[in-house]
Amino acid sequence: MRNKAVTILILADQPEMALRLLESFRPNTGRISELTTIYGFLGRFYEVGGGELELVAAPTNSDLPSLFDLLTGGVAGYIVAVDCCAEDSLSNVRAGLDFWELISAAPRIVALLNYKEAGAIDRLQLRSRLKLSADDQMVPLPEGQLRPAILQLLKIILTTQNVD
Amino acid sequence: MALQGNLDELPLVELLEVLARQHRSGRLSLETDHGRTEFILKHGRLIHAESETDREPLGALLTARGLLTPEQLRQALEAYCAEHDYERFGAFLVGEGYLSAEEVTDTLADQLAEIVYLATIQPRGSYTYELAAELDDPTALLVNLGLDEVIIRGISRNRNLPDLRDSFWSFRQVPSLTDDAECLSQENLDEDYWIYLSLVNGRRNLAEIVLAGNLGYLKMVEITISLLDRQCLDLVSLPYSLRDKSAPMVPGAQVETKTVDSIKQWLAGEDDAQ
Repeated sequence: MRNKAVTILILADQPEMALRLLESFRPNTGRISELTTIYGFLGRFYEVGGGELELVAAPTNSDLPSLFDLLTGGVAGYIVAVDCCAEDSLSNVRAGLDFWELISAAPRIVALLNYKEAGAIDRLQLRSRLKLSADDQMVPLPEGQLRPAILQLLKIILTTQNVD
Repeated sequence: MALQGNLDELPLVELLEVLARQHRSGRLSLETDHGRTEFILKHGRLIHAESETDREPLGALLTARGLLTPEQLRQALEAYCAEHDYERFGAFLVGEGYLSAEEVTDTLADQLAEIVYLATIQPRGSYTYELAAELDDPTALLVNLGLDEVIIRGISRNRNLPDLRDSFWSFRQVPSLTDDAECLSQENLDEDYWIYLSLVNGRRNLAEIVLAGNLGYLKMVEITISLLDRQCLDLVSLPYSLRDKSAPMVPGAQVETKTVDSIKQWLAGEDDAQ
């Protein structure tokens, strides 16, 4: 039995960054729900293109294991947000990845924020610092807009899921 | 109004657990028989500690680590006393090129962990917590430690277990029982051990075991060290190896392909229209 809704998790080391990314996604058509709680985290439902999309914003910590367990079961993929100018936050991002790598085999994508700013960490260096695998795709988010990351993640989900 | 109370009612580690879990930023002040201690938290992580009494000087820690010789320390201290641009010795050492910021902050992290550990074992005292995220001195070098790292560093230094951090450095590590764990059934373990053992399932990490078992952080660390010492426990710390060798994880939710495809087409179409 396959889900009719596509649930995508937005992970960021700071909850407000996850929420900001969630709020950056404003489709021009379709229906958007109010900000609501999905599996205990803030998110929105979108009725778009004949399907239902759920975006959930969550901090990359494991302080709510039961909710994360629940969430893991329903997630089709997750977006890991990385602020390229916040070098200090990389250890937190890596800690979050450690947790999610252990509990979820869902496909993921790394979304880069502030990648054009002066002092932004180089992508190769970022890959090395976050110990990303060769399979991990990075998507720059122009002006912090989440849309390219969702699109790329949907492509990955399509290629990794078994055909109906 | 500040949060106030006594340490015999709410022990320090439990108080720090609450503040860390709520990602609080502020200043926690303790008054104990051994003097005053202050901690600064930012987003639930400890970034600075000051103690009137139980504080090993930074210079002594640096020489113990072999980062400075006693002679270099003496020269640096003399120069620091003559120099008035730096309020703190750590900032002076980095600013004047004696040591790198990483070397000093890692040593400060040990110092902070020791202050927390020593404050933890004070049986009596009072605390005050107030909102004040920033340190008064903007030039001070700050550390950035989660409570788990503080506890593990503190215990490994003060109980003289220097090898502990080779295998155990985070509450996010996932424990699994070894074959030697079978012999535990012959032993008279207290109840908390059985709660802990019942929650080890190869997927749940140490922080989750604390929550699920209603155990304190210190109790969990004590049991983990004891089981590591008896070689009854392994701590998994390389998620990629787990990912490659087995599948302990929940697979991604299976979604109707046509749903994913239609949303993708719609998103791409909106992009083209813009």
